[in-house]
Amino acid sequence: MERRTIFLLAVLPLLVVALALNLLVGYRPEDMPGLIGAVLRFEAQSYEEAVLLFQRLPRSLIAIYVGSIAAASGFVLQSLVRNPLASPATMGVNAGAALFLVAGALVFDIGPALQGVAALAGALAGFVSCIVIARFAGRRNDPRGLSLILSGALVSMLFTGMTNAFLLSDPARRSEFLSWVVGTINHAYIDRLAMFWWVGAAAIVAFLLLARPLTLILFGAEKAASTGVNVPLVSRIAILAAVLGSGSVVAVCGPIGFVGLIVPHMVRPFVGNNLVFALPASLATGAVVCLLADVFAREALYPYVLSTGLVTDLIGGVVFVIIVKRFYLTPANREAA
Amino acid sequence: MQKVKRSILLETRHVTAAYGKLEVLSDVSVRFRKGRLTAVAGPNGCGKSSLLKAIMGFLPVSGGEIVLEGEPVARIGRKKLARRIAYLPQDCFCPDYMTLGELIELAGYSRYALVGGPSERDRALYRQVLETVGLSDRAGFPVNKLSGGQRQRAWIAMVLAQDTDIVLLDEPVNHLDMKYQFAVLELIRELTEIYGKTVVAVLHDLNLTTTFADDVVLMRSGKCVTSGPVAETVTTGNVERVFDLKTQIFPRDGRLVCFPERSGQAAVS
Amino acid sequence: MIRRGTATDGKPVLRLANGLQMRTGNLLAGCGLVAATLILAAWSTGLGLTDTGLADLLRALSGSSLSDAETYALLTVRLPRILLGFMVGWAVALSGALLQSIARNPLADPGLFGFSQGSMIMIMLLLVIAPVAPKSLVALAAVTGGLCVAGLLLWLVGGERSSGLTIVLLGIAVETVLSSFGSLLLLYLPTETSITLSEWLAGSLFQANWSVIAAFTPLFVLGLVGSLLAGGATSAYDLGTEMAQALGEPVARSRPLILLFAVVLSAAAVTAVGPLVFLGVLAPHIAGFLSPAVGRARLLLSGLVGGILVVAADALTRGIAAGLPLPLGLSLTMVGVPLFIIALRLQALRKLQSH
Repeated sequence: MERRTIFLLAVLPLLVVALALNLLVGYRPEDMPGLIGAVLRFEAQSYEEAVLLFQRLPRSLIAIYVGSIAAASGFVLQSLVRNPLASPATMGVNAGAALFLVAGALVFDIGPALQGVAALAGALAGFVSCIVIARFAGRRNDPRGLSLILSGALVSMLFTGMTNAFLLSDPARRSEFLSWVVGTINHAYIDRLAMFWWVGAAAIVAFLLLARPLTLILFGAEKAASTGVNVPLVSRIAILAAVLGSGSVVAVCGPIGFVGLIVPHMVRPFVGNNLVFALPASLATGAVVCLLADVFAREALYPYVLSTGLVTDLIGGVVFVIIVKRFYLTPANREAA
Repeated sequence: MQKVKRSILLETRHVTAAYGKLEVLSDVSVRFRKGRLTAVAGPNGCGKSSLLKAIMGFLPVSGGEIVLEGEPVARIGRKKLARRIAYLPQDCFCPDYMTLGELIELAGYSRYALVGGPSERDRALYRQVLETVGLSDRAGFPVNKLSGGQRQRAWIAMVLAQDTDIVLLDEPVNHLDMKYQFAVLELIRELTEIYGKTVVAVLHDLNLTTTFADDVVLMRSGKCVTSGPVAETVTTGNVERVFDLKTQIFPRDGRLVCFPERSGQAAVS
Repeated sequence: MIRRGTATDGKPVLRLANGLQMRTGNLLAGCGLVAATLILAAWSTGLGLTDTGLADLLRALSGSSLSDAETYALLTVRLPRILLGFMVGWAVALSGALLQSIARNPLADPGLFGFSQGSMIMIMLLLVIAPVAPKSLVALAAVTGGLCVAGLLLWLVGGERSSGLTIVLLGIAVETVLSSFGSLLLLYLPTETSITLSEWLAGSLFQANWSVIAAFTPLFVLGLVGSLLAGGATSAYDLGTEMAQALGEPVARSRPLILLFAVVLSAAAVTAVGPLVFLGVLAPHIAGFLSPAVGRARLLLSGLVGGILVVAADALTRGIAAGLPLPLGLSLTMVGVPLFIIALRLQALRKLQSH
């Protein structure tokens, strides 16, 4: 069997295992049958079962949403921008969404629904700023798309700094947003998920519909155009979907970074660049990664619960170093660099 | 003390070098003669550029040594080396704000004091160099605004302005139109004939090599296949060994012309 | 001693006996910037809640006495802020200009390399362990933190053979990891410490006083001297590390040294007012727009522009947003980004015209 098929077949059971882990870690083995029954019946008869249904299950759902959307957006961005370091977190999208949401909530005192809209607008603003600043560095001195990553990092830092400034202006509500700002999966955010899930769903539908033309574009814009693909339109829709999808993730649980950077690199060696296969693989793998990161955040320093965003950032930084070493420091590339 | 042959200026002795695990030079021994234009030729990825990089110390040399007039290059300080050898990389980048004049002034970097600048003599040299490459009227232009041919001449001018007796050029005529290829190589030829410099140039066009070079080093997969004067070294046998290509070579107007033969099958290895 | 002449590119220069030449254009731009700084500073002394200003300051210098409120406003609040602001701006801009030459990318910012985060985490740890640590110890911690990050970077990047590109990319990675550590600390510290640290993180000149200036001045002077010494090398670095080496720059030795300068400057600034993101990119770029320069002149002009930007941002904080605790980082953005965009647009127009 091909590696691709094996991976696609294996990732679904993995997802189930990760979900089960996320739901059930920490419970005694003898309670398992009852707990599983509670999930299937969707009613709680004991305190443990209530915790499972109304705290853990929402967390898991959020983790799945976050992971899959971020991973798919990351894959699409990396493909279209042609840069192994592209992702919602590295291109200012997450920071932009966070800034707009916080500014909206603290300065204009808008409710959760409008906060979501603000996050979407912020995601776009972050992406556009990143592109505009990268342009300034020019193409000639930038043979390998480095400027995009630099400007993304700059924009992120700038926006994060401004977010903090807004938070400081209102110490009373600061604590409310402080953990959200670093990206936290919390069962309380399930309401936000209920409000914004359709954005991510629409993004996924768009990705899947465009998978074939996007793959063609990947092999060369001109070649794709010659086969009848409307390259500018398809690229724009895909990028818009990726950015808005990431924005909706931020609206739900804050900027959970780097899933979008890591997962494509986990998936690509097995599945390749063909988005028809890579997208489902990314969606599932992203969910698995996020579920596991959430378990880690919850259990690593038990009884203290870490922010999932911090865990992914830490892992992400290390993976970033590895990617840099592989793509920018391998002997073949070294001469060019 | 080893007796050094006076006509040999620069020499690599059994040089082996690698990027990580990838060996790019293995046991390369080449002698570069004084006042000659030596072309380094061979197929893509054969280690031509790596040879120059190894000489400049940009590539870790794991075996053998590179000797400049009896002294191992590795033991010569950067500043001192810069006064002996000038090097032009394959791809040169210049920031947008730098003018041609400023670029040329940088060439004498190794001669300036820590807080100092070009001397009277340096400045006269720079003017003369710009004259030589025919860019005197372009000195105030940003380098990146020059045309492709002018830009390549500007870099050659910089190498000249460094005022060294050895010049290493990595693919100096790549990406140039045929007219400029000849103009630039003509200029490089002058470096040896008029200024008496020792020039080592990586060229991958065999006909340009036979037209302009005195000596040639033929390389293949990190090894030096053969080296020597062009007339003796560029033979059908050697070319086939290096390029995997059957050619006809015949003299014309005092130089050799290589003409690939059409064969029934493409020779791909 | 100093003679007028022309450089190789035909532009007028002043030349010293040892050959050091300064472009007349750069020199004029420098003088203009100094004048602008002085005017801005003079205007800025009159901004704030207390109604006093330059006239009172001059009166005080000529011997007459001021009221307590005036003395406090001028000598304890405004002057230190202006002075410290200028020096900090200079330091960050210079650090950015140095890094841009080494990384050969105009977007390299000291903030991207994680120096600020390194300093910050060190300060946080210190404040957590010893909440009432003296200022000098805090400064030491900041510099140590920055240096640790620089050491880590140099170790990750390896010797003279790696390119500037690698430094930037690994810098971003280090920055990411460190800033998530920073968030971790912010999140789990007691609220008051957390707010104090966040305020410092947003950057402010509120705590500017003469003792901070005294602590900062040596580093500022060091930076000034360093930029004069290393300045020549940056123009060689602008051509790439290989070319710089071919020209005779001992990169293996001088790159760590220049990085060290950049770190010390950035860390000192971080200690004094907190990180100022983007200034390191803005200032050299605006300077290059005002008067294109190479090497030392570029560093000096960048420093001047950086200083002016921070003084202007501080004036904005005190004058227009008086009473609002506008963080310096935010007002700096409000001053700098429009200038940046204008410079970009004008540059694009210039390019169009020259073609």
